[in-house]
Amino acid sequence: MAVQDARRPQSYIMEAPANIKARIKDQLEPGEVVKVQLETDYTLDGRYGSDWLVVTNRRVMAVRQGDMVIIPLLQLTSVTVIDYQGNSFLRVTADGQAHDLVRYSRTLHSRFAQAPILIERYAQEAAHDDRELVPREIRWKAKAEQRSRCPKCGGVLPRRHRQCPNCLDQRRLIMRLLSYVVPHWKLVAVASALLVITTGLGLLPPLFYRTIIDSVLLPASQGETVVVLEQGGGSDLITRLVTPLAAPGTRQLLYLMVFLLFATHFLDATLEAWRHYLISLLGQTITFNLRNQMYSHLQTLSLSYFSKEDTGRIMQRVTGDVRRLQDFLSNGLQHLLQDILKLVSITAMLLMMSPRLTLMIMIPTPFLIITTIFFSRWLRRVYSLLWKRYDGISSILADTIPGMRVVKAFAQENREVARFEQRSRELLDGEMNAAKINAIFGPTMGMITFMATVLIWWLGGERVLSGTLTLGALTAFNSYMAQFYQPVRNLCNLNRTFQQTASSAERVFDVLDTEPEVSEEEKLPPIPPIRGRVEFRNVTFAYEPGEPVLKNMSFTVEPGEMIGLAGHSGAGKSTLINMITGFYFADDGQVLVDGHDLSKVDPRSLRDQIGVVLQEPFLFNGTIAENIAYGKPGASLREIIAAAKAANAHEFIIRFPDGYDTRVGERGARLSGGERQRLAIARAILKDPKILILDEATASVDTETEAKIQEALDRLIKGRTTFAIAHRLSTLRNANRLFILERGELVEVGTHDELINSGGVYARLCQMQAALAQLRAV
Amino acid sequence: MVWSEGNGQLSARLDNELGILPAETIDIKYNELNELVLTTGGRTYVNVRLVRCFPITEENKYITVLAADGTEIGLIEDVEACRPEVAALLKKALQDAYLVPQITKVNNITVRGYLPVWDVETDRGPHILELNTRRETFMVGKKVVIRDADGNRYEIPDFTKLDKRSQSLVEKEV
Repeated sequence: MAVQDARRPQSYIMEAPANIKARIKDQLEPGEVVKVQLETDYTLDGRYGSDWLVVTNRRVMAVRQGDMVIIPLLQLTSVTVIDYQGNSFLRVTADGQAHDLVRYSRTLHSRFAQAPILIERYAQEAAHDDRELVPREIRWKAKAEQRSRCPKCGGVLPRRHRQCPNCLDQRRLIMRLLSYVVPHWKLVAVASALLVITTGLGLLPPLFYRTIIDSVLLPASQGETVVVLEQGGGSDLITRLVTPLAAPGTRQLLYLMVFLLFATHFLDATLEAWRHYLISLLGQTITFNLRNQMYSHLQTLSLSYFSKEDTGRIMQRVTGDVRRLQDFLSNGLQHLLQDILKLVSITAMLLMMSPRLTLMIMIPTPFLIITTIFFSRWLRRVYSLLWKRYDGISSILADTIPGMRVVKAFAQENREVARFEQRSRELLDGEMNAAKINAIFGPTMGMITFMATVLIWWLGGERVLSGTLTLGALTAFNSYMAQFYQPVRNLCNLNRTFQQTASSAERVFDVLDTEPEVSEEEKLPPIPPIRGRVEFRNVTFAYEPGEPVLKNMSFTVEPGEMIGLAGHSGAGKSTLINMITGFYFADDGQVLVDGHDLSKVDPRSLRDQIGVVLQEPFLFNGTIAENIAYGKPGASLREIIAAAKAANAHEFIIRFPDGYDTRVGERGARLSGGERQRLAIARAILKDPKILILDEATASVDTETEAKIQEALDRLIKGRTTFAIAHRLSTLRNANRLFILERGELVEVGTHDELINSGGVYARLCQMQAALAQLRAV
Repeated sequence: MVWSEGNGQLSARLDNELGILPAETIDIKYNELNELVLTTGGRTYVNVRLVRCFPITEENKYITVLAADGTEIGLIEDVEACRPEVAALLKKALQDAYLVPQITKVNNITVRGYLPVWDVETDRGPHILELNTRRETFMVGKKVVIRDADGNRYEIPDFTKLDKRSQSLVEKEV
């Protein structure tokens, strides 16, 4: 779910109840059309209830419980959202008078955030002569809002993973997961067939014991054939089948039975091995596909997805969750089938041998089920507490070890040790608690299961004494019961397995269902090779609805021009650059490159022609040559060297023993900041972009290196449209023009000298930096 | 990774700054002090140093020639393109400079502490390699490159041409 496509309009008309609809309809004049219709959760006097905000192409109305306010759009002088701590008002002014139209809680903040913009828009449209005006396409962005509530059921979402526990439709998820199995149905069929056969084979040995005892050992020791008193259908079959081959009570029969015993188990083991292999193949194949599908899907997602989602969490989905699904697909499902088959067939066998005895020895089963469920719940609670305590310990470590300097500087070692000891003791207590439960759990279960054995010997023994049951049947009974309890216990935990699988599946599918930045259906045309003219036309953009970061910004930059961007943090510099690179799209207005609206071209084709050098250049774990050529796979060695030379990187590269073949290590750990920076510049040079973005490119290096980098940058900048962000304003001196941003607005434009002379924001910033530099020098 | 040659469309300006020495003008010899003397474009440089840009992937291409003071004189794009006697001398000088023993057989790989110790036969004779990390053992195509604790480099030029036992020993390390 999550991020919706910026280009897809979304309805701002909510479905209203009949009485509200009727009240609105009564007011509408001919030709008047409802454009916006939103429900509140507070009434104007601050009670829970619902009022309605309605915007038509002519008027704005507040349809409230007691009254109604209607104001023609053309009379409006302002529309604002007044945000208080606990709730908000939508306030309009008309004819010099303010009207609070509606009131709503923070829950609906995002619903109403766009309202002022929409109202202003329709007011503007109403102001024009309708016939002249080509109906403007109204776009707005469904923001990646911080969802605190489930969009489906409105329930509160857990903060850590935003999955609605109420809406987790286990059955749907498991079915969807199973749909991945369907293409491999042949494999499943074979594995299931093997499963049925092995389960069947597992049932045979007790029958063989029975025949050995009743037809070989007993007759031999007593010198007579025991009459089988209770004629059980299939159970007797073995004896009937083998007696023609060898006479009861003879050695031959013993040998035959022993051989059968061996052969059955051998066959069972062989088939089981095959089944295990096949089912692993199935599980691994599916997860292989799923994992790759996820990774390639991640590549299509917009940057905003990655800024929103925690890296660790995404990684956990690709590896951990997928592995859990694989476990379910290969083991879980088969075990489930196996357990059910076993239970049914063993029960059937027991019933055939002696229905009454069976019913009696089943008495402990309900206790077993109840105890298992009870204990596993208890254990889960204890273990989740335990995990939290482990977390606590690791967070102490993660805190103090990197911060050791601070700890020592403030002489807080003893306090830290005490803190750790306390947590450590809590962990010990937790572990012992779990150990206690485990200690009780095992013997309790053993006791219950053993009750069944006791019952068999007691009740079965009495039957043998009274001659209604043979000794062999009693033995068979015993060994069936031994196989009976494990499946019962497994099935008790079934719900938990399903729950875990469903939540893993939910997380995996959540990634797969997130709409890609450029969806496959609406492939946008690539932008042709550009010259580098950048134009902003009345661009407004907001990350959070209603809080624009760029406001109505307009400017034009000619090809080859260098623009320095300056302003306080949060003034919108980075946002501006993210819009040029097509990572975000304007909510209102247009961003054009060579006259192409960026929301209408494939962003990848644009980024192909843009080079970026960031403050913290990202290097991949490969060789230096590979890193330089990252933006241009297949670049020749000659080009790589040329780019490195232009970036002033060649001289330090050839000082490494492995030259360009040097492995940079993870994230370039083996290179200094300045070296990494120059590799990034070489990368940008090799890409030969028409538009260049320098985001604090020289911020993290010393002065001497900076000079080298600056020299390299000057070479790079030549002939390219460049946008450079820098806090150190001296680095922007060469810029053709400086754009000074403040709170999302362009407040000053001009060369360094012009702006200094004008004595505005830029001049002040420069003075402050000069003063700071002097302070440092002293 | 193999870099394709010849589709370079980098601007002529950058290419000019590459400083490629025209192969046919390069002359090289050892002087009486056993220093390399390079003559190119009518100028002579004494005691030059040869540096491979791509010591692992391209041994005889893109050789940087540094003057005695460490400044770059220029690049030899392809040693093979030079006159045969020059090429032979360059190759020898490079081999002398880099000296990468070629491993022909792996007798055993044991673990001391948790670090591997290789007992190998090389074209330079038998040797014991002591590594301080497993990360410095990697494959480039069929070639296996190993760097020991002291920074010496060793190569197995073609992994597939080793005997079976050596192969299975190496496989566990790469």
